Amino acid sequence: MRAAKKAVRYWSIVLGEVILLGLAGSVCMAVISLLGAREFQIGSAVRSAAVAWVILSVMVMLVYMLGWYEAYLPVLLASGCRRKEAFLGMEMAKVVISACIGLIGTALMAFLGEISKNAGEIVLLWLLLSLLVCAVDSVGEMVGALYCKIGKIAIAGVGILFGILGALLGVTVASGVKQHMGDVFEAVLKLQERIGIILAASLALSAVSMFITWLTMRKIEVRM
Amino acid sequence: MDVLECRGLTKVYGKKEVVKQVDLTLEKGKIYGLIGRNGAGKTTLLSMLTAQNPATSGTVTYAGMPVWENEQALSHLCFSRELGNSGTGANGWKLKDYLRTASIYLPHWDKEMEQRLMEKFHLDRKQRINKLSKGMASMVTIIVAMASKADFTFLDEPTAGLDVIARQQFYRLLLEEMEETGRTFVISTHIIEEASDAFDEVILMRRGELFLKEKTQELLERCVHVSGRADALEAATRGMEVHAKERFGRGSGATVLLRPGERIPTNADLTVQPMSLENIFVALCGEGEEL
Amino acid sequence: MALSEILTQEKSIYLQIREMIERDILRDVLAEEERVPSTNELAKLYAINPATAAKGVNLLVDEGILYKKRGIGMFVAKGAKEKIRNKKKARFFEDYVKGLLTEAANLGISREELIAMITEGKGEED
Repeated sequence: MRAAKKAVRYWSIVLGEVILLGLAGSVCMAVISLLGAREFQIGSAVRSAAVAWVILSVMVMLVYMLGWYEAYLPVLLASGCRRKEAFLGMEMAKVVISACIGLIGTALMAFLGEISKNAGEIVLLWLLLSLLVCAVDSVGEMVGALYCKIGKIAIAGVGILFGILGALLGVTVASGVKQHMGDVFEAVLKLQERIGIILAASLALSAVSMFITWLTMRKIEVRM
Repeated sequence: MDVLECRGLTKVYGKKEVVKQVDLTLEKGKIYGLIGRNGAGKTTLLSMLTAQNPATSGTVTYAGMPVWENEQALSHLCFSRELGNSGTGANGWKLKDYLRTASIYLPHWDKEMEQRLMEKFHLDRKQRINKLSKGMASMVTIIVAMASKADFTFLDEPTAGLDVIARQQFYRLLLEEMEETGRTFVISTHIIEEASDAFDEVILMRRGELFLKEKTQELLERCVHVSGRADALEAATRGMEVHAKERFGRGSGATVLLRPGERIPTNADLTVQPMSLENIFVALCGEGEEL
Repeated sequence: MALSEILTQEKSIYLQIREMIERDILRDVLAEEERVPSTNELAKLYAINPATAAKGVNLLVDEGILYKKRGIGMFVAKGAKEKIRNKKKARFFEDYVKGLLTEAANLGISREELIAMITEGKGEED
C-alpha cells in the first residue's frame, strides 16, 4: 500500500497549506469587516472570518483537485504506479480532508454559539458540511480530470464553479460589514431543515463525479 | 521465462496510426538499440510496452502476464522518460520529489546508486525539472533508469544534450551495469554511431512499423553500399533487397541488404563498401525524403 | 556524373573525391569532354566544405585529367582515361606490390611460393 503511504504524506502537506491559507484569508476577512463596521463588533468579525475560512479552504482544495491530474498523476504513472492505486489514494485523501474541513467548520459554529451543543446535531452538521465540501471537490476533481482529456470545455465548468464560490465570498464580506444580514451561516442553518435531501444530493453528486473521474482516468495517458 | 513480448501492438490517434502491428520479443540480459526518425513511434512504443499508455489493440506481456495495470509485471519494468522543459505542472516538480516518487514506486530502487550518480553528475536536488538544462535533464533520465534496478529498463533519448565526454561515461556505465546485473536495456537514441558498439541488437522503426530487428554485428555484415556504372549495378543486384537507389547520369549507387548466400561479385565497374550503422540508418530511413 | 559512393573516415576526404572521379572516368560513367559536377555541387551532395572538394578536383586539373572551361564548368579532358590508367599502372608497385612483398616477408613466404601463387591464382575477373 505504497500509494496510501505516499498519498498520506502528500495530502497532509496539502491539508497544512489549506489550513494556513484558510487562516490567513479569514484573518484578512476579519480585519476588513472590523474596519468596515460601524461599531466594533468582535463577534461579527469572527463570524465572517469563520465563514471565509470554510469557503477559502474549499477553494484551495479545489485548486489542488484541478491541478492533480495534470501535475501529479503523470509522475506517479511514469514511476510505475497503477491507475487504480493512484485513484484510490486520491479519493481517500479527499474524503479525509473534506471531513477535516467539515469538522473545523462545525467546531467554529459550535464555538460561536450558532448551534445547540446537542451532540447529535453537531454530528449531523459535521456530516452535512463534510459532504457538501466533498461534493464540491469531487466536481472540481472531475473537471480537472476531464480537462486533461478534453481540454477547454472543462475550463468553462471551472469558471462557473469559481464564480459561485467567489460570489459566496463576496456576500460574506458584505454581510460582515452589515452585521447579520444575508449571512451564509444562516443559510447553512436553514439547510438543516432539509438535511435529508441535502445529504442525499451531496452523496449522489460525489458518487457521480467520482465515477466519471474514474472513467476518464482508466485509460489516461502520460504526458510529461 | 523472463521475456517481454508484444504482439500486434497498434496505437491510433484519431485517424493516424502511430504504431502499426508491432511484434517484438525482448530477452533478458541484452542491450537493444531502438532507432528511428523523430515521429517514427519510438516513444509511443516504449510507453505501451511499460503500460504507461494504453494500446489501441494488441497485447503486451511479461513472462506471460499482461502488463496493463499489473503490479507484478510492472515491478520488473522501468521507463525513464525524456524530461521536458515545458511549464506544465508535471515538470514543475522539484528533482528531489521526482526521485522520491520514483523510489517509492520502483520496488528495487537503489538509493545508494542514486546518491552516487547525483554526486557524479553534480546535480542539485532542489532544482525544478523545467529549470534543468538539456544535459542535466538527460542525466536525470539516466539516474532514474540506473537506480531503478529494473529487469527491463527503457531509456528515451538518454544522451540528448550530453557532450561527447558525458556520453562516453554513459556507455561505460551502461555496459558495467549490464555486466554486473544482467539487466535488459532498451535505448532509444538518435546518436547512432557511438551507441552502435554498445548494442547487442538493433530495432529499427520506420513510420510506426518495425522495419527490422537484428543482431548489430549481423546487420553490419550483410549491409553493403554498391556504386558505379548503372547497368553493372542493375545486373549485380538483380533480385536482391535494394534500398535508397540513386542515379547520377550513367552512374548509380544503392544500399543492399544481402540475404544469406547472396554476394556482390568483385567487378571493375562496381565499388562495394561496408556501411556504418549510421549510414545504414540514413539509407533505410531517409528513403523518399528530399531536403 | 560521379558521386554514388559514400565517404569513409579512413582517408582524407579530398583524396576520396579525386579517386571517385577517376573511377567513374575509367568505368565510362563520365565520358571524355563531358561535364563534371562543380565543387559547389560536390560540396552540397556530400555535405562537405567546398574548399575540400576543390582540393580534390584541383589535383585532377593539375594532372591534366580535368580542365576548366571559363564560365561553364569542369570537364573531362581528352585522353583522360588513358592518363588515369597509365598513372595507376605506374603506381601499381607502390600501391599493391610493395605491401604484398613486405607482408610475405613477414610471414616467411618465399619468392618462389609468391610467384607460384600469382601464376596459378585466379582473380575475380578470370
